[in-house]
Amino acid sequence: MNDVEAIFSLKTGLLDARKFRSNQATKRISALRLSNFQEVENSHSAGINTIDLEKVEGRYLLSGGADGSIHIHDVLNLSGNLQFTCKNVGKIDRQSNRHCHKYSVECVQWYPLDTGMFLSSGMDKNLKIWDANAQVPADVVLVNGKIYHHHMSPNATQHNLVAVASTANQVFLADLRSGSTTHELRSHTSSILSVKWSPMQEFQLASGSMDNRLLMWDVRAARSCLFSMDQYNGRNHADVEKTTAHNGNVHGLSFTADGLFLISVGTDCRMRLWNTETGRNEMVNYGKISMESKKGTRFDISSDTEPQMIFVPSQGNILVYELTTGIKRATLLGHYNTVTCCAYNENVQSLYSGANDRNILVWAPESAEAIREEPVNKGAALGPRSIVPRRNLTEDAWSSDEG
Amino acid sequence: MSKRKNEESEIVIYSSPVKQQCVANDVRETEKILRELSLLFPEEKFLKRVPRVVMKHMIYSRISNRTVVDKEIDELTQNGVIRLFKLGSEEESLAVLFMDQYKEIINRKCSDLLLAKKFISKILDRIKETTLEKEALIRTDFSEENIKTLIHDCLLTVRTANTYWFCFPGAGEFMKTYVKGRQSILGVVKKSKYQQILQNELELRNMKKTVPLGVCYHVHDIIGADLVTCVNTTSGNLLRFAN
Repeated sequence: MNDVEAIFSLKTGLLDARKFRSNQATKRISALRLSNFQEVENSHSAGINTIDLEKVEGRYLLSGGADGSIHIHDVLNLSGNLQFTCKNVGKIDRQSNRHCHKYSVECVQWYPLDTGMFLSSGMDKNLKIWDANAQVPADVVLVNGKIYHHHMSPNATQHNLVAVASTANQVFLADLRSGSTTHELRSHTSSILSVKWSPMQEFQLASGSMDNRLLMWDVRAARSCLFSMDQYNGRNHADVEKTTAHNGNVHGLSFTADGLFLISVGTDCRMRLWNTETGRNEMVNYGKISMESKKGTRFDISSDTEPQMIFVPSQGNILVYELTTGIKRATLLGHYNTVTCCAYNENVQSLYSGANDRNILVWAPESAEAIREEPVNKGAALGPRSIVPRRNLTEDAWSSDEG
Repeated sequence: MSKRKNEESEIVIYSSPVKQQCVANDVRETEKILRELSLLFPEEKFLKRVPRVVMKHMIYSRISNRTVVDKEIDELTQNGVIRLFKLGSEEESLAVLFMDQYKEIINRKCSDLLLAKKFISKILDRIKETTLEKEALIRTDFSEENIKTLIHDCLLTVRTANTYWFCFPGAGEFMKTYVKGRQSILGVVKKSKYQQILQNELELRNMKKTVPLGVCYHVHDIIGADLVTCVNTTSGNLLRFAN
């Protein structure tokens, strides 16, 4: 069905509006490529470890670097031109801000409800809660152990807890109201690399660790974890007392938007899909995904498309997989070095990715028509890329015009 | 009229994952391809000491949707058509044997026919997994002596103190040739220019001595195990070494 037909059947009521939207989003996602027009201002002086796009407006992109700096980029194109550079609107680094992280920043996250505040954590064992406008920390929580990851629940109404994954073998829960840690969740026997709150049940938490285990917690429960994910679904029969989720470190986690499934990646080059209700391995085979990173890998899921897509960094590429079938849809090649993180923008169906080559790249669905399209304002169209005036190739600099 | 149009649009637009799976399930391609691949195995070279073994990941080189393959393999195992064995160098590699061939070689190779018959009816037809607990053996009246005989006949191998892997006669010989063959094939790919070679060209190479299982067999093996990536060109498949 082409676009005209789809719009017609939408107007006549033959097509559900939500389905129309997901249909269009899917179409756009399939055309994802390195953007010809959009770029993010290159401001990092070290590799990028983590990026986060706020969900409120989908406008501000937060990025944390290996040198401890945090940058904020405005990704919304208000200029009216196709050619567009995402400006750096905030910069926290050693030169400009004495509050900045001492060592590498491993995780940044916007406060889920507005853009006035964000959280960052890193190898200097600090979890910092920043005032985004003043760019000073409102509070600093010192945690016992280097921090690999933290997460704040996107939908919690009854608590203000930030889960912190650290090298101390425990998940710490920091309460934003009191500014200190309230619980420690103990069961892992090695460093924890990733934590995520469930978007469906606000007290449920998943954690992945270097001991190959993936645990699901209820933070209200006094006893240890709810269950541990088993990659063999209990069919392994070996007398091991602990079930494992991967044959390597579990270093990336993400829930689907409806909270029904959990996806994990490990250093055994596998990605697995789990049912969050039963803890069963859904046995989706995504094939081998080579990942070098011993630290966390941050991947993202597009929730507005049908089927949902997973964007997962694999060395210098980003691989796009269908969530439920495990079919690889695309390979996005563009970075010069290991890709560490990616963030999906639901509003415009584009993808941002950060890598160790210090670049943030924009992947957008740009069709051939868009390229031929005339810019709206020709006078202002000379963006930073076209600032060099066209020169005649046969012309030279030394002969005079008069001759 | 309007209703019919609606239905049409449904099919055109929403190729939902569930529907795709149904289509693939109807065809039953996995079993067909398994039979094809097992015919690649040069049984006469081993003088019938080794049954026709196929590695599970070899199927992935023919069917791109791995989830469907896994599901169908699972179903075939539960139905008793095939049997899986934990075998191979990698953590997750599995060998596949057709059940009729497996039973045939057991009957041919086993030293104690009564014991073999009992093993087939009491254990193989009931437990479909790749591993077995000692308790299950004891429960079905296998004595320590019997277990020793089974291990000696290469039907079981020791995993831990009280668990065993299932195995088949000739597994050791197969593994030896398989690992060696894969190494030399990968060596050829690695040493060619830009670490890539056309599949046709590779299949023409004379490597009967170093690759007794046949180049075709190993081509499927290395593609399925993601050791090379497949690129479609105008002159056939190009295999590129993946690092």
